[in-house]
Amino acid sequence: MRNTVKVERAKKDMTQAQLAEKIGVSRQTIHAIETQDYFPSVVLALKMAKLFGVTVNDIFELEKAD
Amino acid sequence: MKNKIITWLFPNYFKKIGLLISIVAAVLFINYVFNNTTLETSDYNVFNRVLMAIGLLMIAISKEKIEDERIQILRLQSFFVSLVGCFIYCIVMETYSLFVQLVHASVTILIIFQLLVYILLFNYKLYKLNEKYSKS
Repeated sequence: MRNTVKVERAKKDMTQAQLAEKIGVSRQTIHAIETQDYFPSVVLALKMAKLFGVTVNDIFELEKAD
Repeated sequence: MKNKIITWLFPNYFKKIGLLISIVAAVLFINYVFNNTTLETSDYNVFNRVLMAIGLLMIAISKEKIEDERIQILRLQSFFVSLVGCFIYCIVMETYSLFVQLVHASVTILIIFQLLVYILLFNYKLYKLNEKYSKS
């Protein structure tokens, strides 16, 4: 699963720490999501989408292998 | 909406209390091994074991400073491995009892073993992950 969390975060001019604080996770978790080492839960994905003002589909996209 | 896998844990400061209790239990155990104690031996042992189990349990079920879903997945992974470790421990002890010498098994020792495996594994995984993501 690909994601554009890093891009959306850059658009909003936010650091990983700021995003982490706003959605109630650790900075390491944001980094893990951005490097696609960790796939967030639906609740966390929705929180991020709401914060960025986009839909979950705009951030997360399935790959062929999924 | 509840999105936590594990819904109830002790606050973070319980980890320090648990650590203190565990250290006290370890010191008492070392004292028991190297010196004569005034307490009756079996009572002393039971007290020591229960104290150690309480301390380790407090460490094991205390929240991290930021307890998020990734941490909870680490908890589940560590718990699963500790459960398998516990099973192997039981099999080894049973086999030893059957073929070599009868071992007086204690449930508290089994719990201590599982808690120790869980705590060590969980903290190791946490350390490795934080190290990986803190570098970049």
